[in-house]
Amino acid sequence: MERQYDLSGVAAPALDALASAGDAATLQLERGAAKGVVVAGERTLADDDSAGCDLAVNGVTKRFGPVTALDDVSLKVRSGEFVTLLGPSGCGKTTLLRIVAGLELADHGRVAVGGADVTRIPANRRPVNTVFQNYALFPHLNVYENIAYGLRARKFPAPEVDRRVGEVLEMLHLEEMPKRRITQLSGGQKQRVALARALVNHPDVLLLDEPMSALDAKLRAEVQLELRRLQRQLGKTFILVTHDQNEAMTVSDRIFVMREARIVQSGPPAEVYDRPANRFVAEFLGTTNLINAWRTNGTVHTELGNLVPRAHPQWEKGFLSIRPEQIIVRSAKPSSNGIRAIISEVIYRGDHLDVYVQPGNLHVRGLPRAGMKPGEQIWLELPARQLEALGE
Amino acid sequence: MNRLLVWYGELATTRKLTTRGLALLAVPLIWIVVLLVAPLGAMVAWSVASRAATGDIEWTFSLQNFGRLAGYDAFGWTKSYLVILGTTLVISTITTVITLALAYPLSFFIAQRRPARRYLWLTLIIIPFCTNLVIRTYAWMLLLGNQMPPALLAQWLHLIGPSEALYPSTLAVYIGMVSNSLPFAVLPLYTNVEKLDWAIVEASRDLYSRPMRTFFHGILPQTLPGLVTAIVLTFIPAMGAFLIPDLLGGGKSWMLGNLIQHQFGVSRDFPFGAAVSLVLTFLTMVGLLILRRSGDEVTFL
Repeated sequence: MERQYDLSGVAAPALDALASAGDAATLQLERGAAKGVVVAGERTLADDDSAGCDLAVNGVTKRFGPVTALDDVSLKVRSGEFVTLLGPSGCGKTTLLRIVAGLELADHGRVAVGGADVTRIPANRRPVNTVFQNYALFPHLNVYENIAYGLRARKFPAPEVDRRVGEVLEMLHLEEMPKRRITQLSGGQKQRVALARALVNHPDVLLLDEPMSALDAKLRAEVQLELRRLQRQLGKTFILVTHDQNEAMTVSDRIFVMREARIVQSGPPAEVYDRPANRFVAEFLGTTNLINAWRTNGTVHTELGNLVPRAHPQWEKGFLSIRPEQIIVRSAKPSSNGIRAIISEVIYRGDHLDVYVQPGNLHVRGLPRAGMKPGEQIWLELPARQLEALGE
Repeated sequence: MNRLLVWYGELATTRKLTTRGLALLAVPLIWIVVLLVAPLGAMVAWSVASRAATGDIEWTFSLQNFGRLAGYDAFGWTKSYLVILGTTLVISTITTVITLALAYPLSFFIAQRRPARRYLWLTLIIIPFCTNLVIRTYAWMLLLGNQMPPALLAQWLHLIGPSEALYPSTLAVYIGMVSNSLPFAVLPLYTNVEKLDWAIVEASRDLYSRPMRTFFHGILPQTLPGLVTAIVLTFIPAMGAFLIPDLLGGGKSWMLGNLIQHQFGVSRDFPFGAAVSLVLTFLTMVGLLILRRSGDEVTFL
C-alpha cells in the first residue's frame, strides 16, 4: 500500500486525468475517489478517498405530527472527523442521522455531503452508508453476500466484489466466516458484519446508529476502541449516534450534545466535560455537584458560603458545578473556596473512594487512603478554575 | 426404580409422575384412535374391497379401484378420471395463485392502517365466515345471475352474450373458491407482515438498491413463512373442494371432491370412493412434504 503520489494539493482536473488512467470502472461508480491519493496498483479502502468527505446540515427542522424532533438544527462536520451526536432518548439525534442517510425527509433545511446538496437525493443514491442499531442484516444471505450487497446493487464486476469483500473481511477479522449464516453469528460478529457491509462501499460518510447498544459492557468497550482505531486508520468521516456519554468520550473528536430537538453544545470531549455550557450538559456527561447559587453585584453566594467561580456569571440565580474528582481534600483551611465539612458516607470502589459530605451533600472522589471515616471533619477546596457557573 | 425428585416445585416420585403422565396421555390417545386411526383404517379396508352388484361391499381383496382411477376398467383405458385429477390440480393451483396475489397486497394494506382500524378490516374479512358455506355459495349464484350488475357489465362489454349469466361457469367456480380461501391466506400473511422488520428494507435502500431489488431481498424473504402457511391453507382445502364446483360450476367441471361425493352418494360405490379419497390424501401429503422441504430454507425467522 505504498503511496506513489500524494496529490492532495493538485487541482481537480489534473486529478481526474491521472485517475482515469487507473481503475476507471471503479472511479465511474465511486464519486470522490480521485480526491485523495492515487496508489500504485490497486487502491484499498484505507487509501481510497482517504480524506472522507465533509458534511453540512443547515437549518434542518423535522416534525412528526405534534412532536418536533429537530428544531432548526445546523452542524458542520469536517472531513475525516469522528463526531458523536449525544443525547437522551427522544432528543432527535437518530432523526438527524436518518435525515443525513436519506431515510427521513426534512421539513425544512438542507443537507450537503462533500459540498454537494443531497437534500432531495434518495437514500440509494447518497454517498453515505449506515450501520443500523440492530444491524438489519439480511437473514436469508450469508456473511459474504450481506457484505457484497451494496456492490452487487451497483453491478460491480465479480473480481472487484471479491477483492473488496476480502479486504473488509480481513480488516474486521471475519476471514473465517464468509459462508456463515447470519443466525450463526454472535452479537459482536453481527456488529462487525454490519460495519463491513457499510464500509465495503467506501462511503464518503459512515453513519452509526447506536451500533453498540446490543452488546454487553465489556465487548462494548473493546468495540469502541476498535472503532476509533479503524476510523483513524481509514481517515473517513464517522458520525455516531449514542446516548452513552462514555462511548462518546471514548471515540469522538467532537461531541454534539443534543436536547429537545436542538444542539446545546459542541466541542472536543475534554471541552464539553470541563466547560459544560449549562446544567443539562454538566449532568448528562459524567457526574457533577450542583450548588444552588445567587449573585449580588460581584459576589456569588451559596448555602455553603461565598464562592468564586472560574468566570463571573451573568445570571441572578443559577448553579455552580464542580466534578467530584476536582474537589480537593485538605487538612488545613485553603486560601480560597474552602468549605468545612463532615464526612457522612464513604464508599470503597476499588480504584477510588466516593465520599459524601455535609453540608450540601457534596460528592468527592479521591484515592483510597486511610483516615476517611464517617463523622470526621475535613476541609474541602473547590478550585476556582474548575468551578463553573451554569444556567439552567 | 422409584426416585424422589422435585418436579416444577412439586415433591414427587418417578412412579407417581409416570402414572400421571400415562393417565393424561390416555385422553388424546383415545381421541386420535377413534377419530383418526379408525376411519382411516376403514378407508384403507374399503379401498381394497369391491362393490357387489347390489351396491354392498364385497370383502375380496383387489387393487382394481386404484386401477380404475388410473383409467383401466373392464372395457380398456379411459382418461376420464385422470382428467378429473388434472382439473383438480389446475383449479387448486390457479385458486392458490389468485388468492395469494390478492391476499399479499391486502395484508400490507391492513398492516399499515392505524391499530384500531386494522381489527376493523380483519373483522370485515372474517365476518362472511360466520355464514355457512352453502349459503355463501348460493349468494354467489344469485349475484352472478343474468339480471345482476356483474352479468350486466359483462354483457355490456360483450364478454358474454345478451341475457346470459356469469354462472354456471369456470369463472364462477374461481370466484367462489378464491373468496372462500381469502381469509385463510390473509390471516397468516397479515400476522407475518405486521412483524416485518422495516430496518432491513431501509438497509437495502441504504445499500444502493432500487425498489424491485429491495422487495426481493428486504421484504419477500421475511414474508416466506406467512406465504407457506397461506399456500397450505389455500391449496389443501381447494384440492378437497366439492360444494363450490358442484353449485357454481353447474356440475360440469368435476373435481376429485365431486367424484368422491358421488361414489358415497348416487353411485353407492364405497370401495372406489375410499380409493379416490386415499389418493387425494396421499397427494396432499406429498404437497405438504415438498413445502416442508422448501420451508426448511426459510426457518430463519
